Amino acid sequence: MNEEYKPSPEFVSKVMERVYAYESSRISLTWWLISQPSMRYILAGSGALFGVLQTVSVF
Amino acid sequence: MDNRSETLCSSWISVKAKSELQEYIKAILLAVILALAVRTCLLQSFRIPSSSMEDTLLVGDCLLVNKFVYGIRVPFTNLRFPMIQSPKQGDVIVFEYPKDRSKDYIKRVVGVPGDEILIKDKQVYVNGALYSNIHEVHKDPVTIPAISGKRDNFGPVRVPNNSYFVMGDNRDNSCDSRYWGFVGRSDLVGLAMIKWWSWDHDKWRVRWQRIGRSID
Repeated sequence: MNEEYKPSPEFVSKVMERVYAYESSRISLTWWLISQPSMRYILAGSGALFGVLQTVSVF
Repeated sequence: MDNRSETLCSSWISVKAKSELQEYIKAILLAVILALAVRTCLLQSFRIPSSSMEDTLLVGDCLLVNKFVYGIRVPFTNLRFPMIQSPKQGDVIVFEYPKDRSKDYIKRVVGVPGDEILIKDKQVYVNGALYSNIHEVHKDPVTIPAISGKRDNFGPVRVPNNSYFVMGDNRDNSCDSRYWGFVGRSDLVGLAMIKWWSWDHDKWRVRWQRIGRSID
C-alpha cells in the first residue's frame, strides 16, 4: 500500500469541518425566494390588488 | 470553521435579514398606500346582497365602480374635485343612502335635475313621455293603487337642482326614490362599470357567463 494514501490522524475532523462550513454557507430555498426583489414586488402587487378587490355591500 | 469566521458569518446573515425585513416593510406600506389610493380615488369593489336591481345585478355579483367620473371626493371632507360627467338617465350609480350615510345603495338614474317624474300603473313618465328601460322588470302582477302606496302610482314630482331620481330595476321590490326622495349630488359615490365576479349562493356555483360583463 502506498504511504501517500494513508489517512492522517485528524482526517475525519478535517472532513467534518469542511462539511460544516459548506452547510453553514448554504441558503435555503425559502430564504432565497424571500430575498428576491421580484418576489417582493409580486407579493406587494397581489396585496394591493386584494385590497382593491375587497368588497363592500351595496343595496 | 473557526470562531471568528462563524461570528462573521452569523453577523452577515443578521445584517442581510434586517435589510430584507426593511425592504418587506417598505413593500407592505407601498401596497397599503396603493390600495387605499385606488379605492378612494379610482375604483372600488362592491358586492350585491339584495335583489333590488335584478335582473341587471343578481345577489352575489361583485362589481367595480368608477369613482372619479363624478368627481374624486377628498377623504374626511365634503370637498370634491370637479365632475368629468354628470349622471345621465339610465346610468347605474352607487351613492350614500340619504337616510343612513353609512350604507351604500345602487340604483338606476331615472330623472335628472329639472325632470318631472310621474308613475302611473307601474309605467314611468319623464316630462310627460313614457320612459321604459329594457332592464326593468315587474315581478308582481298586482298594481297597488295610489291611496295604498307609492310603488305603482307616484308623483308627479320635479327633480330639484343637484339631485337625481333613482329606481331599482326590480321595480316591484326596490326601496328607492319613490320612498325616501332624491339623491343629492354630494351623495354620489360612482358609476357602476363591470361585473368581475358572480357567485350563485343557491346553486353553489360561479355564474361564469356574467363575469366581465359591463353594466348598462
